[in-house]
Amino acid sequence: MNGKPTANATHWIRMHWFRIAIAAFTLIATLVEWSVIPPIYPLNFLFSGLSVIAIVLSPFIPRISGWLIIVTVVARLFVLDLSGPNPLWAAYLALAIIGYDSAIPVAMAALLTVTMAECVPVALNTFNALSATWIGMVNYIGMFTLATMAGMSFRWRKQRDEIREQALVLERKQWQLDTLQRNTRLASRIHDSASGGLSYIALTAQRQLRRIGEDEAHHAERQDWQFVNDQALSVLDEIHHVIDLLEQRQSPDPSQLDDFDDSKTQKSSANPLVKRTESPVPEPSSSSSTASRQWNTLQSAMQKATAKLTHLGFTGTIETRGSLSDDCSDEVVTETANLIGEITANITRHMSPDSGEYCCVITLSKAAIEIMETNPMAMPSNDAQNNGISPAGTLKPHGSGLAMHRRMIRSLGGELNTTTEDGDWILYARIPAHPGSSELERRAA
Amino acid sequence: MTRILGSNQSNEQRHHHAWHGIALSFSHWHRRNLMVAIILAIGIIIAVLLASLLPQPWSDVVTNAGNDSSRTMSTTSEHPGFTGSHKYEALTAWNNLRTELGRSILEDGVVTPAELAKVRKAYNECLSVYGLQAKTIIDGSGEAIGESVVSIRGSMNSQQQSDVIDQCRTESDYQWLEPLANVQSTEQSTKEAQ
Repeated sequence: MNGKPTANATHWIRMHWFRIAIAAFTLIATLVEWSVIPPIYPLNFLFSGLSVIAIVLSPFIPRISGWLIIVTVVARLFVLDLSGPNPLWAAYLALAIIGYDSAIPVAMAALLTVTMAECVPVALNTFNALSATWIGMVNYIGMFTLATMAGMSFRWRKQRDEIREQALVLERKQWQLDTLQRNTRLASRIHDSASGGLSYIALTAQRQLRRIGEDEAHHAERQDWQFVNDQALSVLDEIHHVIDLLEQRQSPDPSQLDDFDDSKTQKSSANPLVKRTESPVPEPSSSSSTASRQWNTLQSAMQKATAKLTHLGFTGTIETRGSLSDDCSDEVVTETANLIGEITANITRHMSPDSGEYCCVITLSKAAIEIMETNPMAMPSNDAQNNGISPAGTLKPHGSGLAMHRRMIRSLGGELNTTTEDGDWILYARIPAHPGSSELERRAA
Repeated sequence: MTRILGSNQSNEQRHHHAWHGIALSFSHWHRRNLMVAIILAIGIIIAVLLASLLPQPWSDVVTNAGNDSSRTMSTTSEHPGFTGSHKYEALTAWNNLRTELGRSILEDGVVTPAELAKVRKAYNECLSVYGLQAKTIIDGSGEAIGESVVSIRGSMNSQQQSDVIDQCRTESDYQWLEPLANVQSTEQSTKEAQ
């Protein structure tokens, strides 16, 4: 019940132990002097009492207590009574506290206040002066300055420690970020390279199974294709598990929920209807070797995607418009090619070949590469609708493919949005041709 | 153009409201703290005023030492009937006493060590106002063999210190009662020894 307040109090004491220690030392010194030479004048008694109260409160309200002590020290100079506790203990404490807790001008003001006030009796040659001579006062002024500087030095030390701690935290966060980025790249690479291929194998096997039929004559062949399908799905599950592990420390992205992959209603129901559609392949406008290589990379990705989709019976177009920038980053082209592969895999998983045509347009410009893809969404089967699960032996959506690409594209300064409209799945991605400049612009904004 | 102006106005209004809210909360917090500070300050000022009205003992010691105008208590023909070998010293002391404490002590003609300690305490209080303290000098066997006054604070020169010590001895009646107590104590010790 009382655990939390006790823990808080312990934590507070641990954090402010030095404050408490110097306040306790000053309090003990003051009270011992009080007991030996008690104040005689009532006013002196009042100011000494206020000083003791301020010393006690100094760990809790340091600034107010510090200034209250200074007020009592100055006030006692006007009471011609040298009995009572020595006010210098409290003065040193107050100056140290104000030096620690306040800005430099405020600390200097406190130091000057005490110094000048203590100089007045010396100038007036009254008996309550700290010293009869100005030379003697130099020692006291030195002590006041040292007390203030001690407070300031402790504050500077604390600030230095805080800066070091912040630097360590930043370094740790940077390391975590680097690790996350590396894991994301790894996951994306595994997903793009293995997941797409295995999906293709599984879909091909399923297509063959449907072709063969249920007759006894093809029993052995059916078992073989069933084995291929099961193995591909099993390895796919394992790969998805590995991807999940790699992305375990990644914070969940709320927009991921909108991804096509997450839709439980979309199931693969590939139908072996083949209607081959060739994509128009324009010639590259750039003659440089880099641009040519990048162009070939994009073309290769598009051709692979078209071939795979056509082989599985999907119809549609993948076309490019415009020309690639001469100085387009390799990273951007690679990501574009990988995204085309992911879009292809998503089409095979979530679109039915007989439900319509897909359409993918890749617009190339000097500033960015834009990809717009749309396809009709497959209607879920009754079983899937009723149970909310994928039928056994078919591909299950993993849900991380587009999310990973979204993170990659965002890290390049671009965007990837998905939406559904009138039963059509729409994907839009914009990847800036020069990630560095885009990043700078974004940071400047 | 109108729309842009309108949106700017809206932004300004929002900013104005935000600042107004912050200012209000700060003002509320500031006002509360200010009230507490004012109440505390008023309390302290009242306490200071009341305390300044109270008597300040030993405040005129320096002045009296300067013009030698310390007053004795009123001397009347009525005084205790002192007896014994030190009755004349006791009578002289009685006529020079300045405090009610001194007269109450000497009323019975005897100054006991406990009574002398009370007078010594008053003497030290007088000294402490001026940053001085009386210190008993003790020999190796623990016997008090004398007294010295040390300066613990302040910036008095030796002449001023001497004047204050003399005046405090006089005004606290320590000057008259201390020798009487010593004589009586010695006499008592002698009698006990015999």
